[in-house]
Amino acid sequence: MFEFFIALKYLMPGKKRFAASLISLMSIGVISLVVWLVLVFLSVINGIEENWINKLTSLNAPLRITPTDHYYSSYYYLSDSISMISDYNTKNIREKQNTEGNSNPYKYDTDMEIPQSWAKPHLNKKGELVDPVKIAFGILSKHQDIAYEDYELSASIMKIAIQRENKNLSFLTQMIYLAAICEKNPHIKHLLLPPSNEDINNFNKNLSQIDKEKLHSALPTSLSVTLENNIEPVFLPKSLKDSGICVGDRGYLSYNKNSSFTHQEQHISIYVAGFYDPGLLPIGNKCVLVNPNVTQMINKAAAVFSPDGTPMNGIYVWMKDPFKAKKWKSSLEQEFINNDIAQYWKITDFSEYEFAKDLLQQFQSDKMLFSLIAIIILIVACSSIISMLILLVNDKKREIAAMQAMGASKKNIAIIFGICGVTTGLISSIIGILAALFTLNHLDVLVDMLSAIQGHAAFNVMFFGNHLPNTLSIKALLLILIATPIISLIAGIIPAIKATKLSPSNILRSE
Amino acid sequence: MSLLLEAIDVHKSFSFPEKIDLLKGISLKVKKKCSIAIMGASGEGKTTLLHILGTLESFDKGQIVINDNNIAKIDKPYFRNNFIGFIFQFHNLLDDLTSLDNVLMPARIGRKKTIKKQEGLKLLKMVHLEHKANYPIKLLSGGERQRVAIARAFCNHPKLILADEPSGNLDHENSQIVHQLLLDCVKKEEKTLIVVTHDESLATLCEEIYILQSGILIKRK
Repeated sequence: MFEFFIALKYLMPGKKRFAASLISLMSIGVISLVVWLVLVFLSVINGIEENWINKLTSLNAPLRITPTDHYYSSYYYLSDSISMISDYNTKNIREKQNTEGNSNPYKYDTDMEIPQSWAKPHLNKKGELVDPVKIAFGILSKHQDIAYEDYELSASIMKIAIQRENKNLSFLTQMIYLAAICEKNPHIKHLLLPPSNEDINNFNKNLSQIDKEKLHSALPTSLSVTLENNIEPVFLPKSLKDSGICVGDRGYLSYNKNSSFTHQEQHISIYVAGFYDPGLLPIGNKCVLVNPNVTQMINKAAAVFSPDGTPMNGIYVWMKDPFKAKKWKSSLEQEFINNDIAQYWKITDFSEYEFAKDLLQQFQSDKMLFSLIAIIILIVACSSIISMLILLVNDKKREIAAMQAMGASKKNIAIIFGICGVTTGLISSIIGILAALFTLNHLDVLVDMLSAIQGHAAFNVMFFGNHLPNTLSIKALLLILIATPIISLIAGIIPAIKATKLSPSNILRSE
Repeated sequence: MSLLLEAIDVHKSFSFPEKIDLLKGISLKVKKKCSIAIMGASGEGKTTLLHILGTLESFDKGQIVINDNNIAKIDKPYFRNNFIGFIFQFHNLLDDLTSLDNVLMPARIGRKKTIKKQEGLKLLKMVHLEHKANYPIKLLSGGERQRVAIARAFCNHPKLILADEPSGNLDHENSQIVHQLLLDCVKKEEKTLIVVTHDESLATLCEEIYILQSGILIKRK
């Protein structure tokens, strides 16, 4: 293709075309700089978003399956409240899952009459009661590449005694939210903070020999061991460590139990088993992790509301890549429809979580806004190609005329300058991308430099961690690889049109 | 001998900066393998006539037929690429390319894969420059550049060679070399040549001489 051959020759800088070469080098430099800036910025934003999403989805899984109103008004759920076998109490998801044998606890002969306002039992083709919990767990168990576990939330008042040598006994009393520990959560061990020396000393001092042996035999598979005298382990958010609490400190959880005539205060003894990083959970500083039986016990005694709109009981589903949560959601929804249990469950991915929705939407808006700004900056940068190519056209007028005399059509001439534009854009993109990759690999050096100039940390460790997160944004890379050559081509069209308007006869005659 | 080119009553006028009737009914018949020279004073329209014959310039009235093609109705770039070879006063070679690349440029433009490097070298040999095939144009002398331009005009085997003052930019010695070379090549390759020149020595080497005067072409006897 002779157009490509000529375009490449024209793009080679030469001593004779010093001005054109200088402008062309400047154009490449400016576009490369913009590409570098866009890629580094969007990759850092991408890294921060990914980091935050990982934090958001480590305690709360990327996918949540929660019962719908239909579930709570179904015969399947309500039947336990009138059945002697169920002790006349409705069951949470874990209890439903662990129910052995027949899913229908109701006995016509012994239990009270079913209220007429209730929904009719949902029966399968065999005439058996459809069990949406067991079917849902059955569907989940077929997928080897996901982890899942039911969760339950609750609330109570926590009181912890702080006794240190040479200091008076003090207490920390706080209203807290309780979340059942999901031991199948693949991130749980990373969330727990390693104990300090003070923690270890305090822990050993408060433990009996039996408790030590109990703990020793449980670790490392289980993190939460109930001690002698039913003392329950709790994991506190790391912010409470600043209040002087250490691992091994003891106290109790207080909640009210409603009876027919009065409220009774109940206590559950606890010890601090460790601290965890709640990530970006808005109620993270008040959320305490406990054994599932604790939340179950409190919820049975009194109805508790969810502080941030998170459903109180449900199933968490973790997958290797949280960004595939949407895909999993669609796939599971379809399977639930196929198994006739879709009406009982609502599947939500992390982007729809009540506490994360606004933050994630803001991230999307920021990325969209900067992408638009990036395109505008790219257009401005690529416009320098126009001046570069117009200079080239003026410089090469005689050769353009000679080529036309040799049979080159206007289209051929336009293609030559179009290729010049696209090639300039592509070369600039490649230089910018390579520079961005280098920068992203050595981002800490850049951050250290910025911090040194400012005299304080350029990026807050609380928000961004010890290293500024960055993940090469594939979308930004595609945007650059597609947009830059297109904008460069458009920039090359104006000089190309100018070149085709030249009259070869006039140019050759003017010599 | 049959005709290669016939121009009948060709008119051309320019309206800017003032109305000038440059060509007032040019008629010309050129036989195949014949060489003709067109002479005339400066500003008489010799180059304009050559550009019209070479389809680089349009004309107002008349008819031109080249190799049985009415040039008003043809794909002009394709026609120029396949039937016409141009030689200009200034060589008009592409500075960034070598001699060989310049010679092969018409073949590249016409995407003629059959014309290969060997053909280019053969054409350079014809103008005694095969040893400078890979030289960049900027390293060649003025005479050598014009010889490369002559070789380029013969690429694609055109039937008609149009030369516009081919030695106008050269000293006497180089002019004589270029004249002789051009005529030798035309004869050897059996091409038809129309050359516009002020140089009497070049004109006398051609078989026919025409004078363009006051917009009319007159054959000199």
